[in-house]
Amino acid sequence: MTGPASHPGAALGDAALACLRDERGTTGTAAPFTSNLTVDEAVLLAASGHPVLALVSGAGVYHLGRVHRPWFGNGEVTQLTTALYQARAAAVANLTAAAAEAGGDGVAGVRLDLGFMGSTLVRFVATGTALQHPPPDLPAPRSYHLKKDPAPPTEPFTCHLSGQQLVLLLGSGYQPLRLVMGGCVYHVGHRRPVEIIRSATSDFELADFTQATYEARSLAMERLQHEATAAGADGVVGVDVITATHVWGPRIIEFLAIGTAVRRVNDAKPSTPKLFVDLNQGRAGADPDALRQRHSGTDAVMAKNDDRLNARLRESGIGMPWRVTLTACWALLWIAVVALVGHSAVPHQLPDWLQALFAVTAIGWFTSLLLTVAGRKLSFATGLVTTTHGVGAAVAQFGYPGRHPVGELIVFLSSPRSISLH
Amino acid sequence: MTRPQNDVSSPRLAAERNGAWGSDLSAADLSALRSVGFEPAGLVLGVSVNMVGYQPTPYWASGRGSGLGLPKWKFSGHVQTFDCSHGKSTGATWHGYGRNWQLTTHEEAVDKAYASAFARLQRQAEQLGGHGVVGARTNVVWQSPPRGRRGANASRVVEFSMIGTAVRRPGAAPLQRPFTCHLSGVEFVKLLVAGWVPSTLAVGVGMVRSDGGCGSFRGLSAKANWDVPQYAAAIDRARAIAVRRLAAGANATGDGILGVSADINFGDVPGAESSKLASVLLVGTAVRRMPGRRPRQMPDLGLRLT
Repeated sequence: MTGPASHPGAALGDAALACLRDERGTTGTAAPFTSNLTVDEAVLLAASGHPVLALVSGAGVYHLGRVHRPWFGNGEVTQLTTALYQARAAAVANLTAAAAEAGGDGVAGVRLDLGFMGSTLVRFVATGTALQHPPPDLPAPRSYHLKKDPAPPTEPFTCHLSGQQLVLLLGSGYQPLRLVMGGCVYHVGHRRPVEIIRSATSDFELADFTQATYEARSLAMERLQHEATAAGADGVVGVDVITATHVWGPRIIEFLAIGTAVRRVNDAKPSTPKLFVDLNQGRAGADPDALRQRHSGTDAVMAKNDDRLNARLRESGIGMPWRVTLTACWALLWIAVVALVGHSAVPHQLPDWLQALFAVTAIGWFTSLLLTVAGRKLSFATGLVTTTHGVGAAVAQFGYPGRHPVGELIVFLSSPRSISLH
Repeated sequence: MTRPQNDVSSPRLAAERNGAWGSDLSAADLSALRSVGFEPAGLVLGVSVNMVGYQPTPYWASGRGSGLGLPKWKFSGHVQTFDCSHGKSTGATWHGYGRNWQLTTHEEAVDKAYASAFARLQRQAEQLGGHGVVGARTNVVWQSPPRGRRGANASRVVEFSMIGTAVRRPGAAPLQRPFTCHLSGVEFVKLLVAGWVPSTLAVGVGMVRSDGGCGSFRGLSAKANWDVPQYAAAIDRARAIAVRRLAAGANATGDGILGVSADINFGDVPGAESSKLASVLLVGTAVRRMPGRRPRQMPDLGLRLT
């Protein structure tokens, strides 16, 4: 038989089956290790002398207090930012405690999963694999910002890099220190009436949105940098930037930058890589990051949230000109009616009740036009306001015919002078 | 016409055994498997749907006793109480103690469903003459039962299904039990080359229900954020239970567990306000070292040209 059995590599398969036939099998360790590493990562870490210990995780759950945010104007929602930081700190503290308990010197491949329950609970779950890595003799940090040297790390390091990236990093003389995060929850102010009216007719930059995105970003970056400096790091690698809106509506932007702080510990020369063409390219399993993302649904959730944000923006942005146009058409129609009526009769000779009716309708239309432009639905309260104004105008009209400013406007619009130009 | 429950044979299996094999392998997987002398035997499937039994809330298992001289009810699972955070001197009218307790019936149901589905997967692989299963995907679905109890303690139904590709080594004697792994064909071969061999799939589940006391909700009056250690403890405990079960399942067969995918959920309990459910499901592949094969050389660095 010239089947696979004659193949030279088949000896490996036979050895594997022989190993499985041996019922005792295990080579002595009492408790098996657990890890969420892919095969590539596990093989590489084992070859580079980093025994894998255990899958560890830590959770932090925070309940939010009452959140204040302004209507106009941008601003950071410090309470939400604080909640993110507190939950993250609790999760990472639990993670490092679990890693230390497992006897690990560090945690590789940490994933921070951020979740919300309703609008009141914020939850961070950090998951990673604890592994052994003897800490090197740390020289004095090269950072100039620090007055004194930080204490040598006694607790396990945390890094969000994959096994391959970690081995590369260590091979080129860097030591990961800890996961650092820069976060900012930012509120985008509502548009001013001037902008709302301009938006009906022209394209222009939403300055508040630009400014908010910009400031949230720079605040988050600044905090990331600050955390890294405080950890005595030379730099931060592999920063993932997450922009999302979760539960507080499209006007609240969450901006998170998560990276691993590293410090140079020796002058190892990075080796020169060889170039090669990957024949296996295009399979998801070949890329450990893609594989890990497949295992966790975070990115899908983020994408969904982005979609929701876009849908809301579209809803509030594109619908506006149509509503304005419609209301403006009604207002023009009304003005035309008044003008036609006024053409056939001298307005001052109209009965008072008709003038009052015109005044009420005018103010009602005008108010509803403004409110529609402002993007508000006409609720009971606005209806009440409209009616009150209308009644007030009517009273003014009864008492002082022709003196009320709106009455004057009607008189001007409906007088024959304005259309007797032709 | 009904078949006995443990009969997993089907006309498809007979056809696959004698004719063309089915697989969900990629071309790379196929060639990698061939390079170490394996060939596909066919697609195999294992499914089990289990009903979750009723579990009463262990109110008296808190360690505090009933206070009425009644004996404490022994509860084998994990229970932890959380004190009221108002303190004794604040004069609050209502004090609630939070309680985290392990949903042992849910965990047992998942374990049983997994064991049945896994046994069926293995039996199908054996019927195809396979030595193992690669790329075994697991899927767990929770459903409400068609009829039955509603509300907080409602019974539930858990469906566990697994699909993979059976592989065989022509000419080799059958194993006592075929190996199973959730790795792709390429990853399986990489593992062999590195001196490891996958032995079995390992599954660990941990579920902890968290009945909130007044430490978990303080109404609308709070201005500041506050920590809810009870919920964090529930998630951590569920994870610890799951890891323990995962390791226990693989202890006899492997040196370690690789590629664990962690499905960590923390959500509401339908029908029970202020109660949360932390559930952790871990699926990985137990591996063992091949004696005498331990390559200790670092792989070459490479830059991929696309």
